Amino acid sequence: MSIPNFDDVAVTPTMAEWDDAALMQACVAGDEQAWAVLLERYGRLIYTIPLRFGLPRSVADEIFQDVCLLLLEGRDNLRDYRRVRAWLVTVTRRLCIRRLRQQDRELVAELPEEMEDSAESAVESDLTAIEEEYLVHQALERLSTLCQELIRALFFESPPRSYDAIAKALDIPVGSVGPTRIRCLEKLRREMSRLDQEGGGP
Amino acid sequence: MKHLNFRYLVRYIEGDLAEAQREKADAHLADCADCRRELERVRRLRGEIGEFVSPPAELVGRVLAAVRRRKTRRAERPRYQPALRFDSWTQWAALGARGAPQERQLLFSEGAFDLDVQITRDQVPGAYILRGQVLNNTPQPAGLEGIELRIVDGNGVPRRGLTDKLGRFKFTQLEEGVYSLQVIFDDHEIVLDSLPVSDRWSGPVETNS
Repeated sequence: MSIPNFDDVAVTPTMAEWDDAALMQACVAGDEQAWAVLLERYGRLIYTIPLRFGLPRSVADEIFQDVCLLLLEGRDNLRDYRRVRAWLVTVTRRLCIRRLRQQDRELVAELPEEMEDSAESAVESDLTAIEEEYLVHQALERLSTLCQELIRALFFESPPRSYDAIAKALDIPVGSVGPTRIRCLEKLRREMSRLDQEGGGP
Repeated sequence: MKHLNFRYLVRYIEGDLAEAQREKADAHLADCADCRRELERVRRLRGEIGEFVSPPAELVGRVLAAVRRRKTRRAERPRYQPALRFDSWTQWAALGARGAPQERQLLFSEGAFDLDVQITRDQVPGAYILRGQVLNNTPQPAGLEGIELRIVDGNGVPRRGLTDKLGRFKFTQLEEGVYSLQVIFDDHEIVLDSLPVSDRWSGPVETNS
């Protein structure tokens, strides 16, 4: 029995590096590999938004399929393919709000109108940063392992680790943690700008 | 004053600037919207980033299967109404039972396909779950994964879904009402125009049977 060559089915690095506009053009042409890359790039974003709205996983499953099919149908006026990330956030959010309205209909019916509006806008305001947050997430994945670990340890852990603990874990001198952290943050900022201009690509 | 650079903004946030430097930065920030935006971005960079959850691989597989199917799908597809083969509620009534069980099971068939549909109450008050399965009487080269479904409520608002490898699908949190359910195959569509989603008897399901 021959061993399957998994290289044949792997996503080619070139396509994974394409910007959003090029990738979307391939998706619209029905390229399955382009779709795999697009879902790898934005699947987490689409799937996480309903969860942030407090909807259960079963509903997140349904909304994920609905959004993907809308994109596949080429509906909802996505003319500028570079804006696919923003489009996905907008469409997913709209479907989530529709679900929340259905789910809370009985509760909402008992609330004065102004309270209904404020409850919904509170959920929405939590989501205004999600696109930016996802950008940080994507940009972080482009950095070296050292930078990723350093930034996660310093800024994303609660409580943050001490410089001594980080130096020991990363096997670097404690005196270099400060300067390295600034360099890594600068790289992160650059990658975010690049992603912002080009759309995705790891 | 020139725009505040990245390192300067990090030091500003971390309280690492001398008082005079900080005052200068404050004065610049008060006048410069670009730097205020950048400051906000740096703050967010350093803030806690929430977790992003990957969709289940099985769901991604359904979408990719739908992409494959679209390649061979005909633009013009005939639409057929399936025939009703079984309705658990009419069976129930025929047995002389009063009332009806909460779950309603329906079986339709059209050509090479059967469509099994179950309607039950959802955990969400006043809502229903519609789950079902597309069954094939003859083997299908493309399998049963990634068949597109569209369910449209009385106001014309659609929801879309896809079948899994076994042809199963599910729509949750449906309001009580009459829906149209469309199952889109490569060369034709099966359409149920009046599918009642309710736990109250409103007469038999209308089909071409």
